[in-house]
Amino acid sequence: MHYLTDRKRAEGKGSVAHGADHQLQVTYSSYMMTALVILFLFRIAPLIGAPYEVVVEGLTRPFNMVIMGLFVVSTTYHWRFNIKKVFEDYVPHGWDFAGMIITTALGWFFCGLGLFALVKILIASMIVPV
Amino acid sequence: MADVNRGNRPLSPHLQIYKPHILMVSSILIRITGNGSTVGIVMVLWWLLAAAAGPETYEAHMAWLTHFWLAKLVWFGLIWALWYHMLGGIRHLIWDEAVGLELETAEKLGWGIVIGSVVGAVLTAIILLIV
Repeated sequence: MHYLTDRKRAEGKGSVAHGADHQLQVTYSSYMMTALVILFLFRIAPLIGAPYEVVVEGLTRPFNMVIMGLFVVSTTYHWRFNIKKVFEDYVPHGWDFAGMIITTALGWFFCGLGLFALVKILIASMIVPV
Repeated sequence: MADVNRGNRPLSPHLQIYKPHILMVSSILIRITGNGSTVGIVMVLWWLLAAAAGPETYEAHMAWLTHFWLAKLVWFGLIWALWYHMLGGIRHLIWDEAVGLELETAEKLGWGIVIGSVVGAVLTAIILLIV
């Protein structure tokens, strides 16, 4: 170790490995999220807390169903990808890895729950017309 | 001589020695609103799953999730966080194109997202309450 120069020790560290890829992934995700958040606020948010029949009727409209499905997938991806920062920056080494494993699993679980709920609402609307 | 004083070097000055200014505050708020929105994911999923469970379960859960005054306050906070995080993200997308990086413009953008998010959240809340 004593014979390593400063430069030798610094090479390959920092953003050089995955930095550009990480930047691009966040950028793609951000453009997608911007469009979806605006659509969510206009089309889905008014349904939250509305009477049951209104919710089912609203969500099962093809456009809204697709928007909400994309919103679930995109939001949980964005969350999974960026919640890692909390562990990288604030959690001691060792525990950060455990935290990332848990939040990755949790992100996929949230995604599955959301899609399951949408499919179930769709099926319920077909069995008992409201 | 690369290893002289290794691991025993002074740390660079950190957050608490700086006087807060709009660029640092508007930056950290993106992180806070992003992480805080975890609550939003849980609450939207709660709403979806309640709707999936059928009319009786749905109405019972909405009494707490949307009709309770404290829940309404949380929803308002989440709407603001969503607006703030989105506007902050758009600011980064603008900066990514190497536009608006001059100090004066950047500070205006900082105030823009703070004020814009409050205006956006209030307007959204008013529209949602009327509709």
